[in-house]
Amino acid sequence: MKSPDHSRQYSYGSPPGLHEHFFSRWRISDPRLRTGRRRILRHIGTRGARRALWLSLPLLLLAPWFPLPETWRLHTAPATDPAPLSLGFIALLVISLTGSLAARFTVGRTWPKIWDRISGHPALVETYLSLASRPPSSQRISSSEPLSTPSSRSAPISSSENEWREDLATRIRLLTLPTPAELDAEIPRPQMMPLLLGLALCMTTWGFLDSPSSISAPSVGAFPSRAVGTSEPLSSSSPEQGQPGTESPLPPNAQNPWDRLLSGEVSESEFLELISTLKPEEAQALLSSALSRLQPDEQQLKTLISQLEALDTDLRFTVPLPDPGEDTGSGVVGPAERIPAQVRNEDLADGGFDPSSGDTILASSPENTDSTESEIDRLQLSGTLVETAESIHDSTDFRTDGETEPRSRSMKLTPRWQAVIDRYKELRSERKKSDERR
Amino acid sequence: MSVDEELKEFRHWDELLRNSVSKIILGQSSAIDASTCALLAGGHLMLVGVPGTGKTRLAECLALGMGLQKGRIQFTPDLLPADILGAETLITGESGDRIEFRPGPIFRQLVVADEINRGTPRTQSALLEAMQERSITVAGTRHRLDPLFGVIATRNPIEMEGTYPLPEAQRDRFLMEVVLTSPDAETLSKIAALTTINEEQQMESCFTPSTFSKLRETVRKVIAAPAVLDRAARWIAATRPEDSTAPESVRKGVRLGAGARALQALILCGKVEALRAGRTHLADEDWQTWREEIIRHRLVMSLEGELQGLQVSEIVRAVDKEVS
Repeated sequence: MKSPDHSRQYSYGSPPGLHEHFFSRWRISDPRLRTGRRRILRHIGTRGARRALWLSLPLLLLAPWFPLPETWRLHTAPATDPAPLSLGFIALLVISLTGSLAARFTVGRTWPKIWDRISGHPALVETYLSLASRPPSSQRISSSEPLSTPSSRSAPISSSENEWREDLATRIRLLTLPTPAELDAEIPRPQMMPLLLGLALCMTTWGFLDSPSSISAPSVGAFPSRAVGTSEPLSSSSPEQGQPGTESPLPPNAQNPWDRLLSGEVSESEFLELISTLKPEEAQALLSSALSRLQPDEQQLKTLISQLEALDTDLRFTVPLPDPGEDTGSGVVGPAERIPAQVRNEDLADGGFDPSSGDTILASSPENTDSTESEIDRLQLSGTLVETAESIHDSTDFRTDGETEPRSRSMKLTPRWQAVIDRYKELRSERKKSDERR
Repeated sequence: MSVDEELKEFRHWDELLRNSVSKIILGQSSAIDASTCALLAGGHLMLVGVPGTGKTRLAECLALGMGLQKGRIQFTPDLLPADILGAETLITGESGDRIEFRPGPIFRQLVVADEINRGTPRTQSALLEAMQERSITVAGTRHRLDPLFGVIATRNPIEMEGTYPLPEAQRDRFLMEVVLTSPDAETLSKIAALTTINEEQQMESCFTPSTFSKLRETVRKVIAAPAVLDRAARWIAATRPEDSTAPESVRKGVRLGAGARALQALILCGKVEALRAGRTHLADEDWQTWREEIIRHRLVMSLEGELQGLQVSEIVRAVDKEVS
C-alpha cells in the first residue's frame, strides 16, 4: 500500500558528490537560480557561524576553570582580561568562519533540495540543474526496456523532450526566491562534529603557533588596577607580597610580575596608570625587565621609559641585556626617548642572552652601581660596541619602517640599544660633574 | 499540444478512470491507484487477495475502463500453453486443406489471467515471452501482440492445494503485486447494498485505446534527473544481500533481491505519480510511492528470513533507513 512517510525520506541524505557540488556553480546560467543559490548559501553560512559561536562561547568561558594545557590557557582566559579579550575576539572570528565554511560544505551542497522543499516543487531545481549539464537524449532509460511498448519506442521523444525541458525552465522562472524565515525553517542544523573538530583544531594550531613569551605568560585572573597614590610596593621581592592586608596588583604565583605588564595583557590606560604610581625601585625593576625583553611591543616600552624618565632621573640599576640578535629592529627610540640605564656588559660583550637567567632584578645599592659602572667601563674599554654605537648615533638616521638591516653583532647595534648606552653615558657624566662640584 | 495541456489531459483521464473503478470496487482505493499506475506505466499487474476481495472484478473493471479488448483465461491444472497462445489448426475447405494459426486469448489487448498459480509451470511459462517481448512464437513463427498488451493476473495466497508457485522469472515480469485487503464492515455494508439489487452497476469505458496509448507515452516523457535515478538505483541495490549497502535484515533475511526490472518499475511508476502530482519531472517521493508493491514479489526470502517471519514492509523500512 501507499507508504505514508515517503515525503520525509531522502531529504538530505544523498547529496550530490563533491564534484557535482563544486562544478554546479559554474553551470548555473539562470540569474534567478544564481540569486537563489547565493541567498541560500549566505543563509547557511550565517547560520553555521551563529551555531559555531553558540557552541564555542560557553567553552571559551568555561575553559579557564578546567585544567587545559598551558598553550590553551591564554586564549581561553575570561573576557575580563583585556589582552585575552582581543585574542578571544580573534578566536571567535576564526570559529565563526570555520562554522560558516563547515556549514556551507556540509549543508550547502543540498541547496537545490532546500529550495525545492521551500517552493513546494520537489526536485525541480535539482532536475533542472542536472539537465543543464547533459545532452537531451541521455536522460532516457537505455537498458533493455522490458516494460516499454513498441508504440512508446517509436514515439518522437526527442522533439517533445525539448518541449518538456522548456516547460521545466519556465517553471524555474516562476519559482519564488526563498525568504529568510522559510530558510530558517527548512535548512537543517549543521552537524556538531565538524564544528567541534574545527574548534579544537583552531585552538591547538593557535597554541602551537603562539610565541613562547605569550605561552609562558601567566594568565590567572585579571590584573587589578592600582589606585593612584597608593604606596604598596610592586616588586616581586617585596616581603609584603601575598600577606593578608596588603594590596598588591601582582598575582601571588607570578615569578616575574613585570612580564605580565609588558606582555600586552594589560590595557594601555591601565598600564600608564600603574607606571605613574611606581616607586623608584619598582620602576627600576620594571625597566630592567623591559629592557631585557625589548619585544615587538615596544610602543608600550617607549611610553614606559618616558614615564620613568619623568619619574626619576637618578636611576641606578642593572639591566641584563638581551641578545641583540633577537631584536627585530622594528622600533626606534628617538633622541627625546633615550633610556637611562646601566647595562651589564657581559651579555653585550658575549653577544648572547639567556632568557632563563635574565630578568634578574638587582637592588639599587652602591655596590651594584659600582659593579655596573665597572661593567660599563669594561664595555667601553672593549671599544667595539661603544664605538659602533657612537657611529650609529652620529648618523641619526633611525629607521622607522620596521626594516631590519643586515648587521654584524660585533660591529653594529640597533638604534634602541644605542639609545640605552647613550643615555647611560649622559647620566654618568652628569654624576661625575656633580661629584666634582662637591 | 503544450506540456501543460498534456499534463492536464493525463490527470483528467487518470482521475476519471480511478473514480469510475472506485464506484464499482469499494474500499480498495489504494489498490486501484496502484493498479492504474502499473497499467499506465505499461506494466503487468498481479492482484493478490483472499477470495471475495474483488480481484477478478477489479481486473475486469480496469480492462473495461481503459476501453481495451479483454481476454480472460481461467488457469487450471489441465490448461495447456496452446489454450493461451493459440495453435496451428488444420482447416479443411473447398479450396483444399490448409494449416492456419488460430490465435488464443493472449492476442487481446488486456488479458486477465485468473488464478494464475493454478496453472502448471509449463502453462505459466507460456506467458514469459509474451509478457517480456510482447510477441509469441508458435511452430517457429513469431507473432506480434498488440502494442498495448498487458496481463492482469490474480492469485489467492491462502489456498495452496493444486497450485504451482510462480517461478522467479515469471514473477519478475509483473511490474507490481497489489494486495487487496478484506474490506471493513462499513465497506461490506455498502457492497451488500450495491450488489443485492436488480440494477447492477456496470463499468463503462473511460477512454479509447488510442487515448490509453497516448497516456503511456506521456508517462515516459517525464524528466528524471540523474541524481534521482541514482538514488532509486541505490535503493534497489540495497535490497540485495550481497550489496555492501544492504542492511542487516536484508543480508540475513533475503536470498535474492530486486533487479533491473524493479528499478525500471520504480521509475515508471514514479513518473505516473509525478504526473498525478502535476509535475513534469521525477522526484524522490514519486518513485518511493509504490516501492513496497514493486519489490514485494521480487524478493526471495532466505530460510532465516522465513523462520523469522520477515515482512517486506520491514525490509523496505530497513533499506529506507540505510540509504537515506
